[in-house]
Amino acid sequence: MSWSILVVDDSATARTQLRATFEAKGARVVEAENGREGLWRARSEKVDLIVSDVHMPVMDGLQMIQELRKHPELANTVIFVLTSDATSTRAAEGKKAGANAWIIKPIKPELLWKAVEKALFGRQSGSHAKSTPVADDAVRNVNK
Amino acid sequence: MTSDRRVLVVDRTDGALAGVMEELDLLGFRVVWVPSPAAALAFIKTSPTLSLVIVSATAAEDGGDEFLTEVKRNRPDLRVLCGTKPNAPPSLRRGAFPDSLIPEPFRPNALRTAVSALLAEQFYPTAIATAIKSSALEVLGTLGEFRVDAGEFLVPNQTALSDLSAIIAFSGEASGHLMLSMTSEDARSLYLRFVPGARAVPVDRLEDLVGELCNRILGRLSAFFAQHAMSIQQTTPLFIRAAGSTMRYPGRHPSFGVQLTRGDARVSLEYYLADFDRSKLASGATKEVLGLGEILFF
Repeated sequence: MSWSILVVDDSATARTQLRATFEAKGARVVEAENGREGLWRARSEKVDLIVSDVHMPVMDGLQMIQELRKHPELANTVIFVLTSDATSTRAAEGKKAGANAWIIKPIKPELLWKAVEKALFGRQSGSHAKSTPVADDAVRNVNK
Repeated sequence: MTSDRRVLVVDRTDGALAGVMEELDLLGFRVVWVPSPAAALAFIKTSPTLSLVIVSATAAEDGGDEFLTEVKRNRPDLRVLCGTKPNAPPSLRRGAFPDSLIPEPFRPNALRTAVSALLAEQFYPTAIATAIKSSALEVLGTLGEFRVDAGEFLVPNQTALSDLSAIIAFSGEASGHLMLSMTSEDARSLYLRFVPGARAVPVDRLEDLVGELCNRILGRLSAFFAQHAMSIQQTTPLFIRAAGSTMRYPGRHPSFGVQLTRGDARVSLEYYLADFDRSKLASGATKEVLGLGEILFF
């Protein structure tokens, strides 16, 4: 199956790590280093999934998601927030902005892949799952 | 932070402990000198928020034992550090003990270590110091078995700067900064754990890794503050390439440096808290936060 992903993160290291993870699963990976570039990339490239950091220069991830959701053609694109910000308040802001999942990094690649499978390929309840961990309680904090 | 940063130096001759006073000044303390234990007692009675008293071995000969007894009776919270000489009067070793005894002449490292031990709680309560170390271990632990070595207050010529450093400031209901620093060689070693098989890794990328790790550690610290109902906002990392250089924040509180090691690899963490609400710390953790690797679907 051919699919594509946009990775938005100001850290080149994080982008490289994600690129390696998703290319190994056959994805075409597009990168952006801040929210503004991410916005432009998302509109110019047709991607199935966007994975975005929050704290970035120029435009942060939540602003970018809010802007993206204003465009009808991007209204249903799956967007994951991948961030070190673990506060429930910020996660709620992410939900309000239009994100589909809030993920605390670092995360093991195989767990991230499970989340992608669930969201993109409907292995569980589809891309707009309710507020539960991706697999089961065992998934919580297993990266520790 | 509301702690007073005054230190009272007790010595017969003004200037004899000039080096000590200079060192304390660099650490951000306001230093007051008095010539005798009797004068010190009078000063202490009118200065309720004094942090520390340093008594030279010579001054202690003039009723040092009685002085300590009085201080401990009236101000049990006040920390007292005494100098010792090989022929120190035995009275100092009986009855009321000082909180710390270090040999004279004071060596800067010994003084700094003693001051760190005595005053760390005042600047960085145990809960915060533990949270910072735990945050670092949690994040670095995904890259190998790190352990924390002893930390100490840092003076301007001893900041944790190494080849590659990243500093992230934060503000809000707690403010300060976190800085992570390491050698290029150690950064390269950690990078290969991030991106296995990477060949020639440019220095920009190594620097980026240091920033990303600093960001993740601050993310955990932010979660700790959130658990205690303190919200912080952080900036994106600033990068410094400065092997052998120093940093200085005029008028600052002392920052604190912690070394984390994994085999020969060494990561330096420097943190500085300008302000936070101690009362919220005392109330304990009240809010839930997400753990590393946790996924919340909406």
